[in-house]
Amino acid sequence: MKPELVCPAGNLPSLKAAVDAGGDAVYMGFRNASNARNFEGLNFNRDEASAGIDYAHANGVRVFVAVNTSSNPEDNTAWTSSIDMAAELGADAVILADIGLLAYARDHYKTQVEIEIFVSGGLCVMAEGRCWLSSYITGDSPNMHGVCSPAHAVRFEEEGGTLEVRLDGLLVNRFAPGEAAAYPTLCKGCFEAGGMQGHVMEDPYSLNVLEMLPEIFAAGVQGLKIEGRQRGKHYVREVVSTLRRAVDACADNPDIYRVRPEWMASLDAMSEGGGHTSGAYVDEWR
Amino acid sequence: VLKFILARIFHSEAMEGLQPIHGKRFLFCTPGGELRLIMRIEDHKAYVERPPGDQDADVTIRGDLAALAALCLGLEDTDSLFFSRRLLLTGDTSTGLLFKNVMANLDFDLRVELERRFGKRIATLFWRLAEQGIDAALAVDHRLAGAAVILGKRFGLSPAEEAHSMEKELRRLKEENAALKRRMKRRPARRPASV
Repeated sequence: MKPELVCPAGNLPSLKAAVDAGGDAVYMGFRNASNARNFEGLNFNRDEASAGIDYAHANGVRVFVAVNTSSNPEDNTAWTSSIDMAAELGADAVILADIGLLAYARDHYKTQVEIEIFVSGGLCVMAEGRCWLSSYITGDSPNMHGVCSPAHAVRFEEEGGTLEVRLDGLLVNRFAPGEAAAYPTLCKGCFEAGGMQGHVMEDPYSLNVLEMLPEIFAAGVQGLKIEGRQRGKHYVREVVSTLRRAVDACADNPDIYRVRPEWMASLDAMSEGGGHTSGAYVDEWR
Repeated sequence: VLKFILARIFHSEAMEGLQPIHGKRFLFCTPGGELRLIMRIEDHKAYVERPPGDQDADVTIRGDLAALAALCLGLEDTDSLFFSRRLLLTGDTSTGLLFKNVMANLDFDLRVELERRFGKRIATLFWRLAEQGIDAALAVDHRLAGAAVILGKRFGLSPAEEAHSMEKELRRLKEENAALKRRMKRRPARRPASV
């Protein structure tokens, strides 16, 4: 069975780019803390979501709505209303992580579970963004607020070509002149710990599993999810079309599947830190 | 060009959530300081001006002209430009991120818009010039940045500015661009230092 390519859409132009580039499904979020990319100016309002769903469906592409943060136990209206709106607008599925929201969806809608894995893009050290790390510095976390480095806490400064990145005043990374930069997340910061100095938690690179596609197919995964709702339409078009070619080649014959250098170059050109990693699929946890 | 695009954004009813950037000042500049433009948004209008001296801005967006154009015209992936150190955002990151995402959410093709407004001939001329201009600006620096300022001032929000004056200005810029290229060709190639 060929797994479907699940593509990121942070806005309508990106959604159209994902559909046009050969995505099997797109995933989007609404403009609130119910999804894990709760950034300023990103995501869909009701009209945009409706237009996006219509465009995808007209092209035979499924639409998933990410409601993938933990809900606030005191008031989970933003989360349940997001699930309701997704259903009302005709989305094909919701992406959930909170056990209470899974129960809500089961009680109100027809449910069926699919297994998806991340195959490309920004890498989280934790499973599916379940992380409190940034809350110790900024008060916000991916779990509850959908952001691991809220922009209000981030400051970039460059002096003499050296780029310094601070989170609520705390220096988390320093890039030498010309060195490729990375997202300002704590987990990919540069620290001294246990006698080591460097990226003690995670390297600041993008995930890339092109080499592992045959094994992933054999494992029976149903969805190959591309990270990057915070990226624009150019990124989405390039990454989706590259992975489309790779997935189709692997589906044709996994025994003779080989990663083509141009696929790797295309993904590396847009990678965080200018490089890639196999992440936890191969590496040991630090 | 920036003003033309901004005019489109602020007349688009589909855009929402722009209130946070009203009254904010954005400084666009090149690394060497050849281009310095301040943009502010007030009363649903965008004002772009060349500041006389050092002026404070809420957000500074610094990059080579091609990177700045890519951000404003939606020509390239801006995060990739940041990773490769060609684009840097300093100051109020929230406001800067909002601006980036507002630009990324624009669902129109600038070339098609130019054609609609000025006709195919002028739009094609403009587009070619812009492409050449970005190449030349990358190689030589501030001449085309100056041209961008002239274009921004002349063909911004005012609907009265129409094809004739634009064509005249484009012709002048094209000549200037050709002269620039001739000068570039005459410049002797750098020789490696002898060992």
